[in-house]
Amino acid sequence: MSTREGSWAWILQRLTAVLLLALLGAHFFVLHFVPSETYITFSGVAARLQGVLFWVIDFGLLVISLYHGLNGVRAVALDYWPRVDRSLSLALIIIGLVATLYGGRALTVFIRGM
Amino acid sequence: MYPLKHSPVRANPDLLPRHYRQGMWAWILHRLTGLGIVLFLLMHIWEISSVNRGGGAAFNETMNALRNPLAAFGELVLFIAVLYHGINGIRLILFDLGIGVRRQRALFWGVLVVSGALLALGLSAFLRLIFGTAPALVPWR
Repeated sequence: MSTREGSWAWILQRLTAVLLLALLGAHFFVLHFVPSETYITFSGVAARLQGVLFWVIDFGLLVISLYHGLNGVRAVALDYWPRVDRSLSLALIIIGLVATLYGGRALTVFIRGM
Repeated sequence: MYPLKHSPVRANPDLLPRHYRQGMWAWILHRLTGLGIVLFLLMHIWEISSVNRGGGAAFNETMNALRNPLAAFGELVLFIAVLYHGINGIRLILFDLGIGVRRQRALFWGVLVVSGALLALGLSAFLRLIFGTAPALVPWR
């Protein structure tokens, strides 16, 4: 990977870190300090996700945490196997896309409420 | 332990774990917690996505199955990992902004103190879940 791409990966890791602090804080607050049902159920989560703010938080967390986490895995792995950058990056991008689509589909099921 | 004749650890004794100082531990802990959180993240997406596999009923079943002391213990480990990784992450971003690099060791202790304080705030809720005295995943009850 070229220096240019490497420095984008570096700056995006910092940017997503700051976004995650805010989004994860919101996620934690919503789940543990906003009184709702006693047990987590489909209908309860679906009702909450009717609010636009909540699905923005959840979609944001899905995409940004996957990016930050998988980019972190890449950074760690490249310290031990520096020559696998292209194949490793491709594999991580595929994992990230599949997880985003699969998790995103789950969120749409909640939002449609059925 | 270090079989390679020209192992970097032989050349530089600072690389022996018993010679690691605060900055090295901060770095190792950041990596380990990060990798652990990624594993959790993928599991979390898989569990939530039970709605993709069997609709609301499958989701409710998954959530019921996860309401047990072992899962609560796992969440406690996750809580500790996220606290450390997030707060040490703030330390790292400060360094990138040119703030506090020369005080990085003191800031590492600061990270541990702040993480420990936030852990103390959440600990009773986790202990109630792990030892079965709380009805559900809701600390306000």
